Amino acid sequence: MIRPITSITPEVRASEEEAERELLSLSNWGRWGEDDELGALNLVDLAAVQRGMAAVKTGKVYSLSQLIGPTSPRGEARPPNQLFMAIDGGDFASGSGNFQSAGRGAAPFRVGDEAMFLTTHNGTTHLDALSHYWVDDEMYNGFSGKTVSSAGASKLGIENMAGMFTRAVLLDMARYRGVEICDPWDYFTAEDVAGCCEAEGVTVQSGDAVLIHTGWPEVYEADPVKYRYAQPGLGSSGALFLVKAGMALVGADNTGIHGYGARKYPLPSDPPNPKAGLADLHVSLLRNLGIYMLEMMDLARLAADAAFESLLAVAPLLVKGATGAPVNPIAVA
Amino acid sequence: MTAVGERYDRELRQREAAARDKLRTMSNWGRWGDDDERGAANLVDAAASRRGLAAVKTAAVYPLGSEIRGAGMGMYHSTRPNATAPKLLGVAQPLHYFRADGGDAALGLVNQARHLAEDTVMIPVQGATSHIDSLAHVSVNGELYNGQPSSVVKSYGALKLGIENVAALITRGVLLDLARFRGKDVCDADDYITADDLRACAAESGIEFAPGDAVLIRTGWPKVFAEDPVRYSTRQPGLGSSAALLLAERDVALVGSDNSEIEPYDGSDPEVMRPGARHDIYLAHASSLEPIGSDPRREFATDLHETLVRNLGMYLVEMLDLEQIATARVTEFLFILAPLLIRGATGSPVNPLAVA
Repeated sequence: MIRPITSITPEVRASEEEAERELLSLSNWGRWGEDDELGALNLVDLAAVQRGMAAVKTGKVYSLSQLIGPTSPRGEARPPNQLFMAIDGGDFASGSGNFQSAGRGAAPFRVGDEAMFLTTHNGTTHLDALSHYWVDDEMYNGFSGKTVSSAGASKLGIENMAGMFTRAVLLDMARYRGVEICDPWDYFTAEDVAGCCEAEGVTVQSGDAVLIHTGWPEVYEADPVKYRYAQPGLGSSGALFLVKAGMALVGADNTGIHGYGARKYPLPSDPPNPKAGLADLHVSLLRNLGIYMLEMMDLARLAADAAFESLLAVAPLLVKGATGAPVNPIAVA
Repeated sequence: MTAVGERYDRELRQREAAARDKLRTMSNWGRWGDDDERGAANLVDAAASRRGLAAVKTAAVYPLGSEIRGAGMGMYHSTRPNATAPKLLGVAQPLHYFRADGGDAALGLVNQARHLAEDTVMIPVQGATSHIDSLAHVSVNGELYNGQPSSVVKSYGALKLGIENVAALITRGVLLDLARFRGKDVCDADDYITADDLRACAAESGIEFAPGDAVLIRTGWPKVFAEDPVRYSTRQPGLGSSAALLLAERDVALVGSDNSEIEPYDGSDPEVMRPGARHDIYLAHASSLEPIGSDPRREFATDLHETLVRNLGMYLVEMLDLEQIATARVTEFLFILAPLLIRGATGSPVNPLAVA
């Protein structure tokens, strides 16, 4: 059965605005202590880990990361990731590398080595740190935005979130809609999220990671402009539903989870959009609730195998003071 | 030769402290308008440029910039020495990477009939190579030159006083070879250069300072880096209070040197050392860096970044390579400085030219 896109009628807009108000009224500040820098990682308890391990059926391992390369999706206003070879086969071929006398006997030993430049946010698959977003001067748990300086974030840096190991629930919204790629204006309400969970036979529980497959990365290679113009994404009531269920992390294969076009304070470059202003989940989820956001994932392989439940490992690069880090999440189904 | 500590006698200390106090009262804020962003570049007028052009006799050209030697895996390339150009401990080495090179042709990956090599360079503006500081570089009590708030310097660039305002300086340059004046190859680490030193050194070449001049001071300090890259960053010879006062009173536009800070500097001071310094010390095969001890020059030296750059809008050009021009005994020349026009930058790597 094909589930139609929720159209943003005046009634839907009104109920979504109500859901956003409720979502913004929720807070986890102080819940895990005044000094807590882990946020919703605290929800991942032994039960959540055991639930994740119980989800392993076939033992098949999935990388949920985009390739880091010139043709992979990236968002607006970010410089491209770059790979700089420091030494490579060409050096030996042209006679300028010389390892033969390196004391390894007769066999020459040779090496490839490089440096890389990565743009974290909007550049590739990445986990937002709780220092990524703030309102007025306050970040998650009331930490001052002034702690984020050109030297990095001295509070809530990504290094605090050393790793997450829990059950992942895949919400394959493209499948639920009966499409390969969700419509750019698609907007997932609580009804959609609940319907998808029901269709997949899954229930989100406290400490789970929720991964939302829209199929949107497929758009990039054919049309990078379309990729950045408007995107399908999670709405306020959908997010509220998942927050109440106790999710610790929300991931998606779009940018920003809510997707372009929905944010509360649109950039001048944002297109006019029927869902504009209905969801700005970085404030409610990341800043108010300490729920981690894992963006620009590649969920196609997991979705192709209908692996709605899996054991998920998220280990961001421990870049001290970074407001996020590239990550290659691993799911075992 | 006097030992450390003995060379700063009581009279010198008092005289230098008085010069420091006077220098601190001087300001060029408002002199060229409330909106001025060029500072002492305004002193480089047609007369200054003509004075520079008149100094050209043989048209011999001397580059004054240090070589930029990029890091990477150079230590593994037998044909590429790992020795680097002078840089301070804890400042990242310039990075230089090739996007396409001759190795690609050697591997048969590209059309050899016509093949382009292309590269990418990343350079820390301060502390890693010859550079000019822009007037956005120094703020004190929240104010930059001409009263601009320090908040105009954003993470995406300085909205005011960026290096692009300098555009280009063509003026007369003079070289004061203090090392030679001292009868040394390299000035002592604790050398403190006074106004009397500058006058006497200039008099040897018959030089009189004029408004808009670029005054370059050679200490020979880059030679220390080749021997000991750790010691390079510790105590350095520098320009003292009375010397800076003299240059400020003469309306000199630019002061350059081959040391790293123009003023007396001691990077062995734990408060000055950068977080990455320890790794550089390790790379230099030095086990540790022992602080030399409290720098006696602090008592009477002046922060020239505050007084000259921030208060007077003068330009400091640091980490020059003055060996070639000093060897040629050139003391007066046409000085040409064209920074990279990096919008909003606090300075620029630069290779100034001297034409004698």
